[in-house]
Amino acid sequence: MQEYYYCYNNEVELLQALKSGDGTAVKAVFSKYFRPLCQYAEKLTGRLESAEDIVADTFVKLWHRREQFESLENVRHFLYRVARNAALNELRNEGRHQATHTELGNLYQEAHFSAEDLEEEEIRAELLAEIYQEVENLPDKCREIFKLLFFNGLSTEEVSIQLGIMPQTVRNQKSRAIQLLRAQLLKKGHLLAAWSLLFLLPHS
Amino acid sequence: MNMPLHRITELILKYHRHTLVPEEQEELQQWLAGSERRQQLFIELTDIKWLKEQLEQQDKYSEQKIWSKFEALVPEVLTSIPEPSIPLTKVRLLQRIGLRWAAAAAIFVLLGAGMLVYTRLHKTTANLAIPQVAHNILPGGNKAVLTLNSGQQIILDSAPKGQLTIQGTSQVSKTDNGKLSYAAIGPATGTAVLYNTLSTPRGGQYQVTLPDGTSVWLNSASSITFPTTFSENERLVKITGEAYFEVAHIISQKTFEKVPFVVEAGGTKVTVLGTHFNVNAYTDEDAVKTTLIAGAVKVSSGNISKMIRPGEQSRLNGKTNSYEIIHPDLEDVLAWKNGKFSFRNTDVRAIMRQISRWYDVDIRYKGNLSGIFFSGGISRKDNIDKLLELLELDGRIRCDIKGRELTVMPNEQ
Repeated sequence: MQEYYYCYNNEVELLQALKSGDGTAVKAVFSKYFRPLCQYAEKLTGRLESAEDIVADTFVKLWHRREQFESLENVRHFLYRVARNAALNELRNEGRHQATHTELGNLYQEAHFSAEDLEEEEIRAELLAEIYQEVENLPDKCREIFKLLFFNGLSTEEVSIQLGIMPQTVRNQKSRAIQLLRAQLLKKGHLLAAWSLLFLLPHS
Repeated sequence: MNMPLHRITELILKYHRHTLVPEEQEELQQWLAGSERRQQLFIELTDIKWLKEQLEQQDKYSEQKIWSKFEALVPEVLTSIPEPSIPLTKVRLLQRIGLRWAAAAAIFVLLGAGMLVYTRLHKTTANLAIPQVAHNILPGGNKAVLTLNSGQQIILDSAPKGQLTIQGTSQVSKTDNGKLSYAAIGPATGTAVLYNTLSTPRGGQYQVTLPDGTSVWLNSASSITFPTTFSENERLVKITGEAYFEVAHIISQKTFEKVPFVVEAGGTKVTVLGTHFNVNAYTDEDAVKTTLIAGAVKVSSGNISKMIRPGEQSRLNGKTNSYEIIHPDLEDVLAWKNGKFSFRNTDVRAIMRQISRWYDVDIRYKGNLSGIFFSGGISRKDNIDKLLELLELDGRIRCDIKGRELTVMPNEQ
């Protein structure tokens, strides 16, 4: 999680760039956090479209306060807090708008989510984004095949038909994907990496 | 122990990769020992099937799309020229809220104002028209009947607390707070499977703890049938009406796998491993609705099936023979369990069906009531009058009660 600096060498450089108003630095932070934030906001509001708006707004706030951050952890914390407040605000406003009777409307003021619920959603979102990113980092062809096998549950034969390539090529790419995922984990310092997702791959 | 969230995520990620070092394992264990809820979450996050389902969903978050939205709001990022940020103008604020919402809000404000005026004018005459008869229809309460395997019935609301009977290897008792509870008192091996049924009348509700520790809340006019001892490889129960489940997570002593919990309700099968969900299978409702609160469940009917995620509700669409997924307001779905009625743009007839079940009244409709929706909530402990008064408040409908018959009609004045 802490190993992500985009085209910057380290956390300090990335934060420096952010402070100086470098658009690339914002994009770097955005690329890392838009996905979990989106999922988080979608879980809270129940709507993808609102989640997208909330995330865009959250980064606007980040941009305006870009000079105040001392660490990436700081940034992460800020992003979740802003997204959470925006989502909860939207829920509250919606409750108000939809209640026909003011008397009844008060009921919707009660919080829909406990502090624990919110924490859980944050953990879920972070974890999934992290795993997703590792798959995304695979080379194009490799990723396409991996996704068909893994996400869509196609067999080696089905993938070979769909992509018009030889079954042997599919098998080769599959083992390459596995190797690359392992290598990525090693690179990040996770020795003895045995990616449990790989057990999901259809046996063939 | 309070651990930063990102550390928890990191540990779970390492668990997935099998790269936890012993100290980290200890750290994770300690965190998990903190609460049952954490354990539930851990089970969910390490469920490979769940993970797979979730990852498939991730593609819908478009980096390009959201980045464009961001860029539109902060054009200076494009050029990255350091200049003082421009305060948001009103126009931009409107864009941000979304024109759709702004329009909706405006319409609401107009309607709201109109309604207030209308209600005021209307009230003076309407008050005279409402007959001042005490309805005295009380809300429902904890009432249920337990039918044993032999067919013998126990009326639970009047039964004494403590042990009621023994069924197979389970002790059946009524707890101090009036719940029904099953507890194993011996090994389940070799005994014949006995079935018990807990049913609530209209105006009743009841809570039961099944022999595996699963908690079930049964809404009014509902029933659940279950074996008094569950088998090693599957826990199967059948319900009618509506029930909320908090399924205990059980590992088979033979296979060391999680034992699935299966709920059969009106043609839909819900398969779970340990999770919280609500099933609404009233035959007078439009579809069997399964709402997941936490964990992961699979709903199936015949040869079609669908995994649902927390916060989602599945409805079986008879026409297309497929499951539709919506994101309902969970507070509305669980309102009954929390002692409330909660409506959100709910059709007046759907509201009346709930009233009928809880206050044990028959509903008659007079005139055209289509297109009348209500939003709001009220305690289920209130008498029927209070609820009807609120529904009549904005002058769209009128309710008349005679005996146990409630007549609902549009307000023509």
